[in-house]
Amino acid sequence: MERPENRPLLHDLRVVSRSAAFYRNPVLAGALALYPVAAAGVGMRNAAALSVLFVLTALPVQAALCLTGMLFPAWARPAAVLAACAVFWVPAALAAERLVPGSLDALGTAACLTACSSALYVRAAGYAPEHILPAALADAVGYSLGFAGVLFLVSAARQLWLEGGPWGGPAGGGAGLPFAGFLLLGFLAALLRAIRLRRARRAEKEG
Amino acid sequence: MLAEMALAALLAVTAENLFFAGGAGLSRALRSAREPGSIGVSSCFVAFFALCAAFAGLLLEPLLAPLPQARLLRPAALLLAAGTAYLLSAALLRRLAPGFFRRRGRLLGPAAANTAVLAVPYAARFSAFGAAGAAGFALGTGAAFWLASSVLFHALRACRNPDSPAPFAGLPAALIYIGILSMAFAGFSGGKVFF
Repeated sequence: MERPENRPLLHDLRVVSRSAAFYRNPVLAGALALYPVAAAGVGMRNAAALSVLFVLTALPVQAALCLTGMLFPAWARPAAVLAACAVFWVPAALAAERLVPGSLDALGTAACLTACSSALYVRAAGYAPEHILPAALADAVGYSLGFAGVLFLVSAARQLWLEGGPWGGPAGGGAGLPFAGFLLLGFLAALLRAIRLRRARRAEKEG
Repeated sequence: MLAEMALAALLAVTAENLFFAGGAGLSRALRSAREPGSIGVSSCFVAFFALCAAFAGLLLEPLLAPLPQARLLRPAALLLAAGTAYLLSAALLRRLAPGFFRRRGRLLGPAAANTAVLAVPYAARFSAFGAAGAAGFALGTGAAFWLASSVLFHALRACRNPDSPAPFAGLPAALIYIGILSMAFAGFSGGKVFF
């Protein structure tokens, strides 16, 4: 059960998480981690494996930089982030392979390049060292969920497109190429922007 | 040797462009496009770290290839190499050109951690490049970063047009613009750059 004195903190953490997942979505609002979504976001298996890989790298990297980031001078932190990504990517890849067998072969280079995703770097180098551990972890959970949500949406749409759509039309062979991912991301980013604009207008009206 | 280098550089800018045809490193290119004054320096940093990554790939491959877990260890080893290259270059710049480092040092980290930079040794391995080819591909990737950032700088300005529908203004329109450019590059490469 939540202790009363922890409630404000838990509320803040939920706000941090929700904001990082949705309103400040790393892919659609921050233009981060575009590569894995555009290049490998095709089919549910790829989406599941990449999400596991991303979450299991993001959480320990963010925690490590939160706990040790201030020990390094600011100019040396990028090297610490790269080292942390190198260390934590290996167990994350093993876990992804165990949970979704054959996923590393299916993802190919995309799985390897997720290790230096811009989302991991920006949040671990910029946010984590200057925040307390629960906030850094809530941020990591939030942006990982945001990444996974977009990845699943794009992967499902492209899979459907590749199979000829819900009405069995002609198969779209280009759906597996990066350009299809970028086009879908553009429309999803516009949808998110429309929701944010509507929310801002409503808040303005309510004063 | 020079011909192999020039051909690999040309491939990196055109048919095997990691940014538009491969989809890698565009987050950084978009950020760089928002600061037009830093595009040149960022591109030089990307070319430098791509060169480091290409040579690290060539040096590490004979050690990694015989290992049973090579595909797991390769990205980790390349990331550690990128971290070391960053640390050495940042320490050197801080000592030798402190003024330059104060002004431009913040661009060094994102260049070292660029997805396209880590992609260079993979692209070089798939294309079976030697040292000259890998160096040419790395330098070509720096040029491709400059090209991508410059194109996106103009695209971002056009995408902020107040006459465009509000939800599409800025990033959404820029992503659609990247998608269309990427489609054109897919015509060159005939599909994915590497897998």
